[in-house]
Amino acid sequence: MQLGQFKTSDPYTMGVELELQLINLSNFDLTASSPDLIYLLGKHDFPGSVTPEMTESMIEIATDVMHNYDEISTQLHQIRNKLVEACDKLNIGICGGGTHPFQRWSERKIYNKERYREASKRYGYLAKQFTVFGQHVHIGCESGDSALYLLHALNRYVPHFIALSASSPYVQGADTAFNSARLNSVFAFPLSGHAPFILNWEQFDKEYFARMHKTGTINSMKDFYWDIRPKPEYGTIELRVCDTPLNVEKAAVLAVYLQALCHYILEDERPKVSENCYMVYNYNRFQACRFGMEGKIVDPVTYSQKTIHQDILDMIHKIELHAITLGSEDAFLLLKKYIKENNDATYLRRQFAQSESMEYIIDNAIAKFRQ
Amino acid sequence: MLEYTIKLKCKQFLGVRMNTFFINNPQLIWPIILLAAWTFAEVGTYLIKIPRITFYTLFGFIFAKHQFGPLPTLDHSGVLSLVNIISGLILFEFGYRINLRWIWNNPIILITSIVESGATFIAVFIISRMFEISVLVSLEFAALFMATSPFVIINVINGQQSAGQVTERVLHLTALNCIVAIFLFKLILGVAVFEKSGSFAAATMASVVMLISSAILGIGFALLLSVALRHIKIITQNRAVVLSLVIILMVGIAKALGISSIVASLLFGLTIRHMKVVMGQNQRNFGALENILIAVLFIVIPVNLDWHDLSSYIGLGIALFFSRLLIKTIVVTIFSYYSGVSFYKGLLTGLALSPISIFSILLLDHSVSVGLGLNHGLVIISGVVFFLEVFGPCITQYSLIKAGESTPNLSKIS
Repeated sequence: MQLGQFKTSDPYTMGVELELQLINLSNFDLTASSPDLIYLLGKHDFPGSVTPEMTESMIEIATDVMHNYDEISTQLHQIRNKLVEACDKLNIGICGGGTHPFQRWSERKIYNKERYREASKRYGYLAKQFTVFGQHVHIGCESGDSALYLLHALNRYVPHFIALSASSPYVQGADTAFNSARLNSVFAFPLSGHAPFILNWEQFDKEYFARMHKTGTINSMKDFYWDIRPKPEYGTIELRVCDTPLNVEKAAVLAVYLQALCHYILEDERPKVSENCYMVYNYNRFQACRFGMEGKIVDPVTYSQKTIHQDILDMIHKIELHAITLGSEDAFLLLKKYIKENNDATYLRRQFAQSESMEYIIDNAIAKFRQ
Repeated sequence: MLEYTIKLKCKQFLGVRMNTFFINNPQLIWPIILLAAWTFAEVGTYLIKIPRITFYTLFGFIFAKHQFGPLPTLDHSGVLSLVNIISGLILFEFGYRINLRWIWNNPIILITSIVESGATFIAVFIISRMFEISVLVSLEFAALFMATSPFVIINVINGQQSAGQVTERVLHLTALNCIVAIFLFKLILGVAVFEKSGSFAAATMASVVMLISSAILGIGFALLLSVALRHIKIITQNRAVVLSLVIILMVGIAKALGISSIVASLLFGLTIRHMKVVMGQNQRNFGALENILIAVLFIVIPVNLDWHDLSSYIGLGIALFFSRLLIKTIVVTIFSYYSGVSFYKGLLTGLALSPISIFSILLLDHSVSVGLGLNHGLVIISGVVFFLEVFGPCITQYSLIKAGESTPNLSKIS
């Protein structure tokens, strides 16, 4: 089996997927309510799309293909409003955040769909502990080769997105000391990490994907849990390292930051990519997960060290003009504000320090999602 | 005849032996009964997968004084105080799960409740009158038949660890129909007292004053406690203990004042929730203790029943059972589509509202001591009431499983 042609799409168009938590409003634990919510949302028009996820306590929403910040922000807000309205009708809470702070993985229910049942059989408890919530950003690419080049060129900036979006400091009732503990759950899957270093689409398709398929370990691209993966049926690359932020505005800003970064890489920087770039990939990734904006990353080319916070500020300075070209200057103002405030993990820890209650954190996250 | 004689002899033999043993060792009645009932329920649930409370109710009935038993009737038992406390704790937990904001956001839930309760009231009243039951007792039946049992509902939901729209709707519709039922019951009682005594003061006391003072007690305690919990750290760390102690105190006060501990406990839980006093994950329910409390409650519910009463008025019993089941199911199903769920889930919600709590309400509510012939009236429909007490939990459990909302086995991975 081969993937076939990489569908061409307009370069730098974007789309956002958000996995969201469904909350029982009595005890603030997760609730297995996605079948009811999806049924209700299916009765009316919905901007974008809504789909189930691995367990019944989560849903995934996705925007249509968007061109700039205004478009994506507007549609994310429309989706948010529809979700809130439906959840109000069903007595369900809905919120962002990369992990639920105190849910027990063993209490989750696998969504009744062949793909998820099969994943549960294959991965055992990993499937249920995959009740973590991420943001995926798609960027349109004009060809498979361009997509693979971009995918590998972006590896250096993966820590930016982890640190900026980190909102999963608590897992199973305890502080993990990580800013993004969610990625540890993803890392447990055998086909996670980064994509193999291949820059030619035909080679990727015939020599890598087809062979992997023959081994019987995968059925489709969905079986790869890579940090960035190509999505040939959409003609995009998909960045998958972000935790779902606590509000949709931040999700839109992160998408626009990636869009501007891609524009900078392809239209301006055109960096050389090599397998050596991945030498410090896992180390940098760990720094971002563990320490968030204060993490120190190493440049695999110059060997210099910098905090992620400083590296992002430097990058914003470099790509601001690209953001203006793409019509997203307002998003960059917000991005600077978010950097100043630090990430959602810091915010959640502050909430816990005030209340000493994990339930309070969720109550607060529900309110923040509605703002 | 021979069969009847054998049964009688067995009953006399078992009854005499057991009763002699327990008369000599009264302190052993409850420990032995509880252990035996628990074993009976565990084995029964393991074998036929129906709720434990069904077995507790059957056990309480079989070993009641009127049948084989050592279990004393409650009029002469100190267990009644314990039962009051247990129901206070359970009703608190029940009230805590009710979200008033949902009823505001989705008013169809309230409309569904009003229509299903109202239709049940009218149907039960008409059927009772057709069987020549007096107007007053028919009205009281009608009010009590409106209510779904909060004790059964919370227990089955906890047992199934269910979550979803059937679960949420059953909880909220039960809370609403219970409140409406108690309100109407008190009102009817007030009118009856007025007709009997001619005293407006006594009538008001039996109804409105009792309701209002019960509400003030529950809400007042909740407000005071939520303020204390915000300011005194030592209390914050022991929330479940503090809440339990306050409920016990509140139930005691309700009993001393002769007001409704049901209303007070329900409103206490409701207010605590809306004051955002959060119970931590490890403080939810009451753990192993709750299982024991539930056993005591459901064993006690049928102890005043006599086997001979169950067979009276079978026609009336069947008519009441089916009309109640049909009305609740049809109304909830019709409104379900407009309130955001499928007709199928609406149908299952209606069915899940089957459990009834007449004996519990009567046991707990001291206002019944006003005595207007209801206790005698209840004897004639005790068959259908007992049937619903026993099989209601099974119907609710069936509905939750069919709705796909129960969690079958947590020890399994998928």
